[in-house]
Order: sequence, then C-alpha cells, then structure tokens
Amino acid sequence: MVSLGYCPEWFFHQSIGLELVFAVITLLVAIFSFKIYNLSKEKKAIWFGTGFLLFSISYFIQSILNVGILYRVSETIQLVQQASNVINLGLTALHLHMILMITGLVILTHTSLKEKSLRNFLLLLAVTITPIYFSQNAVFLFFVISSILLGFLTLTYLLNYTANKKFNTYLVFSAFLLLFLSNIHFVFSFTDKIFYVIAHYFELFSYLLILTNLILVLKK
Amino acid sequence: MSKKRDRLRVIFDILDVIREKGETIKPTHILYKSNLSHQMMQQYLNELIGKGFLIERVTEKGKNYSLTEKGFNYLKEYNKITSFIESFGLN
Repeated sequence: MVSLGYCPEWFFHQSIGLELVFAVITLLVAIFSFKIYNLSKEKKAIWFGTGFLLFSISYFIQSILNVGILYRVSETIQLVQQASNVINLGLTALHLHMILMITGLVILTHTSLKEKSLRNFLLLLAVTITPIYFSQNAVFLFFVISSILLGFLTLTYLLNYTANKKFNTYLVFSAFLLLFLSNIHFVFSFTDKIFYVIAHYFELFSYLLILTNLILVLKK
Repeated sequence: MSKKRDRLRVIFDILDVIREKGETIKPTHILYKSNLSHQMMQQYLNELIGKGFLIERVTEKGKNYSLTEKGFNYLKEYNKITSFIESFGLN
C-alpha cells in the first residue's frame, strides 16, 4: 500500500475519510478567503486562500487516489504487472500531494513575512521542494520540512495572539500548534505506526478549530 | 490594535462618511471627518478608487466622490473582513 508514513492497515479506511474531511474544511477556508479578497481587495487574503486551496487539492488527491488504489489492489492483487502500475500511480499521487502541501505551506509562510517578493518566494519554494525531490527518503524529509514551516507559522500565530489577545486569534494559534504537533508525529510514524494515527487525530482537531473560527467569522 | 486593523478601520471610516453624506461628497468633508492629513487622505482615496470602492467625478466645482456597490459591500461585511484578517494574522 502506498501511503504517507507507516499507516496501520486497520486505520487505512479511516485515514481516507479523515483526509476527505481535511480537504473539505481547507476548501471552505480557501473559498471564504477568496470572498474576503473580493470584499476587501486585500492581497494577503488571496494568497492565504491559494495556500489553503493547495492543501485542499493535495488532501483530495491523496484520499481519492488511495480509494482507487484500495479498490484496484483488491481486484488485481494476483497480477504483478497491474499491481506495479497501481503502486506507480500511488507514488505519483504521493509526490503530487507532497509538492502541493509544501507549496501551500510556503505560500502561507511567505504571506506572513514582512519583506515579500517573487524572488524570496521562489527561493523558499526551491529550498523546500528540491531536497524532497532528490531525497532517497522523500516522505520522511517532507514531514521534517513541513514541521519546520509549521513551526515557523505557529510562532507567527503565537505572536499574532500575543499582539491581539482575542478568542479567534487563540483558536488559530492552537490550530497551527496542533498541525505542527501532528507533523512531528508523522515524522515518528517511521518508528511506530501508532504515531501515524495520533498525527491524524491532531490534524483533525486542528482543522476543527479552524472550522470553528470560520463559523464564528461568518456569524459576525 | 494592529496596524492593518487601523488601516481597515480608516477605510471603513472614509466609506462610512460618504455613505452618511448621501450620494456624493467633496474631499474637504472627507478630510475633516476622517481625521487624516491631506497626503494620507489622497493616498487612501487613490487606493479606494483603484479597488473599485469609490468613483471620482471631476466637475467645475472640483472633485467629488461616491460609493460603488463594492464600497457598500465593504461597509456591510466589515465585521467579517476584520475578524477573518485579524484571526489569520493577515495584517
């Protein structure tokens, strides 16, 4: 089975379901962010929305292709050649998922920087994606780099909360802290499969907090 | 209060002054109500025209400004805009 980290077999179906939930929540954030851009014409909103749209696409790709793989593997498990094609399809999906997720994180990181330029953005993108592309252990490196970017974003949201102590800034800070912890657990999923499960639940709580914040904003 | 929130608030105040005044308003009235320097006010007005929130008309008596539909929408959804931007640190 092609998956991120070492997913326990009993958790594979649940992880697909959770990834679909993440895809829907991140899509909602992206759509609302584009709406905010449309209303305010604040450029940061469109960049933020694009970052979340990439998260959403990456989760959709991962979950939908995992469903496909699950279905086809069960049908063609005896045919080595077809099974190999399925694994290649899974690897393509995996790489696409990683590239989209890292690009989304780089967009959010770049949006949070004071000094913004296309050169800085491309540099950030190059130094994060290139090592993953050439690494022998791309998935492990993907989680390490994602953790670094999420650590930076968590710090950014902590500073945002300390500067503006409100419930909604606290929710977003907590959500990114949980996403950061989730990625740390994904890194350790290579040593014990249970970390893969814990990581998914951290991710779920994180996105539920982001969804709560979105609902509170919509009620204003 | 963050810098961006201040900026968003200034935009709100300018648009609100124009809405309260009715169809059109002269720049001197905006200057008086928005509590900005002339240079800052001009920068904001240019930004708001660029964003499509205001329309500038030049008449024999001078310039005057009126709100567009986008300007009215900004005023209507101001709380959502600031809450979203503030919570996600887009300032």
